[in-house]
This record gives sequence, C-alpha cells and structure tokens, in this order.
Amino acid sequence: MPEVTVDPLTRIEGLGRIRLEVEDGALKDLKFQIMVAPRFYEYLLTGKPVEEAPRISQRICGICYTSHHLVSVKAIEDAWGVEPPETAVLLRRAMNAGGFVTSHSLHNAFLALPDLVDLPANARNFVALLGKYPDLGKIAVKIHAYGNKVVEATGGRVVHVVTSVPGGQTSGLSEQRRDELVEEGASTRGTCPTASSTRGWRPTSWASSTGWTTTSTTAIAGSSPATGRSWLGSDPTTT
Amino acid sequence: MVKLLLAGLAGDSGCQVAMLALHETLLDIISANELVFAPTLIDAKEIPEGVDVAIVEGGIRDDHEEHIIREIREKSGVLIALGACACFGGIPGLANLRCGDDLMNMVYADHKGTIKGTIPRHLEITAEQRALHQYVKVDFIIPGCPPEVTDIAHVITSLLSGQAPQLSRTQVCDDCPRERLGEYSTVLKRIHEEVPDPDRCLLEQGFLCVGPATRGGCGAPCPKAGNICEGCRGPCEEVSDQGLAMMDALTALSSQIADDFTLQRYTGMFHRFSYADSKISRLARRDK
Repeated sequence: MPEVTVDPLTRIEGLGRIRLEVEDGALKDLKFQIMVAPRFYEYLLTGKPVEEAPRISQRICGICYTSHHLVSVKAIEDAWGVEPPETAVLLRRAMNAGGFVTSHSLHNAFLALPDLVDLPANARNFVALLGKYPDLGKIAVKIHAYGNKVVEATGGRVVHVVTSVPGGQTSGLSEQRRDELVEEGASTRGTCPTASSTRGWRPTSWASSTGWTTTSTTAIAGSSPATGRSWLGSDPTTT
Repeated sequence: MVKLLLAGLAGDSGCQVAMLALHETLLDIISANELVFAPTLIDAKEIPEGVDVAIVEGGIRDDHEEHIIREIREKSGVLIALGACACFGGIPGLANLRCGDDLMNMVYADHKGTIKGTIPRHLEITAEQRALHQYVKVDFIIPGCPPEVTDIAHVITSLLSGQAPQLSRTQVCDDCPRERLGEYSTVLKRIHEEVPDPDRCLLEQGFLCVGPATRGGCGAPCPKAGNICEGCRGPCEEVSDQGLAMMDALTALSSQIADDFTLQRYTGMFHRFSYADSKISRLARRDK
C-alpha cells in the first residue's frame, strides 16, 4: 500500500508531520502527529501565585499570546468576582484587536497566502510571494506591523505583553497615541487590496488544477464591490 | 551569500514572530542571503549540509528535538540560540521540579481537566527541559522572551559582516527610568494589591521586580508599562545564577522580607526563564 509521509509539515506554527496511506487511488488512512514536545503548562502553573497565570500562560503561543494573557486575567477576575474598570476593558479590547490583526495577518501572509496565489509548487513561500507580488507582500508586512503597534501601545511590548493584571491594566494609553493609532489604522486599511486590485493574484491556476472553484476567493475579494470598500474594511455585522 | 537556517524546537515560535517584526530588515537579510531550511517560512524538508548560520529557537524536551539540534550543530558553522528557551530553558523549565514521566502521567492521564486521557507515545520525553548549550556548543545567544528586535538585527548583521556581536552588559535597572531612593517597603506586595507609584522603583515599593538580576539592553519596557521585570533576558553578564543573585539582593536588603520566604514558592519568580540552566536545578538534579 503506497504511503506518503510529509515530515516536517512546513509553514505552520510548531512542529508536525502527516502520514497518509493510499489504496486504489483513494485515501485509506491519515495520521497527523504534533511533534512539539509537551511543555507541561498544566503542571508548571499549579501552585503559582495566581497573577503569574497571565505572565506564564501566554508563553504557550508566540502568535496568539494576547488571547492567553487576557483569558488568564479574565479567569482570575471571574474567580474573584472582580469587575475591571471600563477603561481597562476598552484597553484590553484594543489589545485583543491588535493581537487579532498581527496573528491573522501573520498566518495569512507568511503561512497560508503562498498556497493561495499563483506560485510554483517548489517556491510557495513568502520570499517568492514578495518577488512575484511585491505590493501584496508589502501590504501584508504593513498590516502586521500595524497590529504590533496596537499591541505594543496597549500591552507594553510585542510578543508577550505585561499590562493586564487582575482588576485592571497597569498602564493607560495617551490620547495622542490613541489618535495616532486610529489615524494609522485608517490609512493601513486604505492600502488593503480591493476587489479590482486583487484580480491579478487570484488562485486561478492552482484552483483549476485541483478542481477547486474560486468561489470562496471571489467572496472574499469581492465581498463589497458595490460599496467600493476594501474587503478588510467591510463590517462583518453588515455583510 | 550566506546560507541561513531558522528552526523552532520546544518553545512557542514567539522568537520567530519577533524576528518577523524586523519587517523590511528581515526581508533585506533573507533576500541578500539564502534561507536553506526554515519550516515556518519555506518548504525545505531536509537540513542541508554546509549551513553557515543556524538560528534556533526553543529548548530541548524530547528525543526528536535532541536529534534535530545535534543534526543542526553538525551541519552548521555558527549556531545562535534565539530566545529564553534556547538560551536557558525558558518558562517550560519551570516544569523541571518533576521528572518527565511523572509529568506525562500527570498532564495526560491524571490531570483534573483530563477525561479518559491517553499518553502520547510517539515522543520520547526527556527527563527535563534543557537549553541548547546543555546538548551542543552554542556560539552566540540572543536572550529574551521574546528577544529584542534590535538584538536580533545586531547579532545577525554583525555575523554577516564578519564581526563578533556584543550583548548588553548592563542590568535592566540601568534602562529603567523609575527613581530609586534607597528606601524599601518592609512588606512584599503582589501587583494587584496596590497601584504602584509610577515614578518610583517597583522593588523599593515591595513588588518583586527581577530587574537587578536580569541582563539589560531591552529598554525596560515592562517597568515602563507599570509591571515588574519578569527576568526574561536571563542573568546579567557577570552573574552565573539569576535567581540566586536576586535572592542575594533581597536578603541583603531587608531581613523582614525573609519572614514569608520559602524557596519552593518563589523558585518560579526568580528563575522564571532560567531555572533549567540554574545552579539550584543542578543541585536538585544531584538529589534525584
């Protein structure tokens, strides 16, 4: 029975491999193994002062760390029956949004996008993407950098933050910095690809070679052509 | 053109994300050189011979990772340990108070949150989380959790231009703008118990900031953002054990602090990132 092993899986966070068995041209079995060693956070958090949880648990993942940081703090506040002040909640939401932007732009641009655009199979990576579609690559970097700025302004630093403690935030955000971020956010959004500018990098050849349709891509790229807004700027509640 | 390798072991990929924050500088480095193996960025499956500079994030926690780091070392001219896990074991080193097999049972079978757990058998866990240099020779370290973008750029660009990189020899306090008056709180405080004075040294106010025992050069972003230094950059240049240096500083400061002082409770606070590579863990290992 033919067997195919992909080891290591690439353009993912962490280490992994898959092994698949093929019989009569059909997939018979597929095994996926996570090769990152357990790091035993369940144990190493046990017995620690509770305010260590937001510090330690975010080290589970260097991509979605803001989520781990904020969830830890919320869990403590729930356990204690503590309500953080409104300003702290708003700062945390901004931090979460910044984390969302960095995490998703990183995944999209550096990990997934090379598969979705028209690149040869032996060069599906961000460097090749940047070579063929430099504008797209630069926009991706710009979005990622903007998310980082929001996280840094609200979390104190990037890739692991320090500001959320049980009951509130340890630092605020000046009006000036807030306004700068709002302004930069609007201009970053303005540079995002629109339905017409993305036509050049639709995965036509890849999609046709695998029998997939481009429906989903069309939906993303053209979600709001009538309004002329970029797809990233479209409000999910109204579409 | 230099052949570059970028790999992640027992860590959280945060160092590689921090590298991405170099943005244009990173793109310049990658396009001016040749990235030959980097599972997070490119699809190469084999570690090629003749790597010039290998940058490795994460510590060693299983036989698979031990195998990878030995192979990388064998095939690389220069090996850089990137981040606290690779340099000192990092946060996962805090699990070293128990041995690997116990931990597997505890987390995958006996843990409160586990229902009908199965212990994964495809990995052979090592007894402890270790730093890279505990297995192979490491040429340069870029400490921090995450490492500072400026340090990453400095080390890589220095090496590429044939110069030896220099890490900061200061302590975090040297970068910290908070004022020290030499007057200390007689009680220890937890960060949520009191809003600290924004202009005064956190340690003087009774918050356990590990800045005095931690390598500077980061610009002290955490005390600037109102929280303690967690110690992610490991011991200062002239300090061999970060936690012991911190305990030494504390006991010298005030005997009153020692009232509520037990090593077990505070191990993680002084050695958050460097326990696996600490003198204390070596003593504990000898006792096992």
